[in-house]
Amino acid sequence: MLFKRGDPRRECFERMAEQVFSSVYGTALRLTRDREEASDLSQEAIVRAYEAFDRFDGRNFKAWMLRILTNLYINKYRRRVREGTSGSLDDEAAQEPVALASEAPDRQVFDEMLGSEVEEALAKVPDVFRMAVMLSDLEGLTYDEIAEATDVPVGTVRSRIARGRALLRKELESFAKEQGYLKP
Amino acid sequence: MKLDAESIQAYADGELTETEVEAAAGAIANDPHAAAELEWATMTKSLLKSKVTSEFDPALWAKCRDRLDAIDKTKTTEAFVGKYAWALCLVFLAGILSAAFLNRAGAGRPLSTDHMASLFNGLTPFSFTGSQDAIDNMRSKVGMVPSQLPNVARCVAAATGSIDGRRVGRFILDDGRGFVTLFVIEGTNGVEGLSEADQSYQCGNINDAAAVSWKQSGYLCLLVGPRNIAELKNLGNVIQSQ
Repeated sequence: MLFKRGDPRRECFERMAEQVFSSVYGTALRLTRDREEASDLSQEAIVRAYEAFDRFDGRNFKAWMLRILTNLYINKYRRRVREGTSGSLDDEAAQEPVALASEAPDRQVFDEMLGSEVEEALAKVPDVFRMAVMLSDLEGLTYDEIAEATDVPVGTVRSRIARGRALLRKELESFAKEQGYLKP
Repeated sequence: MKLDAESIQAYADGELTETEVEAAAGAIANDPHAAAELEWATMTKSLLKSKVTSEFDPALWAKCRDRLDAIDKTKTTEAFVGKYAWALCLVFLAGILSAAFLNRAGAGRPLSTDHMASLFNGLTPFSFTGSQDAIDNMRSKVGMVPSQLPNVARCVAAATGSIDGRRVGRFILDDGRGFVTLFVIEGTNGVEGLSEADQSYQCGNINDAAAVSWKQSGYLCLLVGPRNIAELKNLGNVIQSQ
């Protein structure tokens, strides 16, 4: 069932969607790494959510929206893979993360990094791991919510987050060394 | 106990059970590698949280709202059609039936030139003893005729029939100067090819002969013959005055 503008349920959807829209677009942007694709993906997610709003269980709207978004992205990605225009979403496709660090990080060094530099490092992490890390660390979703959003078991989410953070750490360290924040 | 990387990350995310948390806390306290891993996990989390931000794009949000409006509009139309499909069907059916009825009844459509051959050749003659008998016969068959034919003319033949669902009567009159034909036609406002000459008559040519028509008591009279228009009008005036 859909609602007209001025209808309390339409207003309710708009209010809730507007509050999480920056997260929706931000996630879409970091998944696709393309403004136009991110714009299309965000709009599609909003439309799908609106059409399915009656089925929203009333708990965590942001998690529900991001679930729709990631499902759309994954389906789109799989379609492109079938068409042979993109890489793989499989966990195995990612390179192995670095081994456990023996030393604690120098927080001050990393605090000096710019947002764009962190974004750049994050973008280098393969899709499935980046998605899990983003949903957890940027959007604050629980492992259960991430498992629902990405349609994988919680154990896989744990694994992806661990590997994703390890890969991100490796990228951050390389970047910090390149930029002279850390001694090579 | 040695903790694996996944458990340390889950500990940093608060995703372990109470029992697991206790065990993990003990292990981390006794293992510098695990402590370093935890430090990395918390730092990476806080770095992402503080450095990577998402901004609201009002133009994109406006596009989304437009798409929602479009969906609402489509759904409203679909809902209306779905709800009142039976009524719309009835209206269409009524329209079709009305059109068929009007088409059948003629509803004042002018008689076209295609009907002229039927007017002259497609009617059924009947016998009569004199002009008044011809009128009476015609009235019983067609229902509408002038009350009298002009005294100056004699009825020499009469016929009736139907053209395009409209009843038609035909008198052939002889006024001593030749024959003129008077048609009486129901359910028409005029004859194609004749134009409005004045308030009373439409004039023109039919089959190369002059013709005038006029409306009288709900039917149309059409006078055709080898006369000029003025003479036909005069004859028409006589018929109307009787």
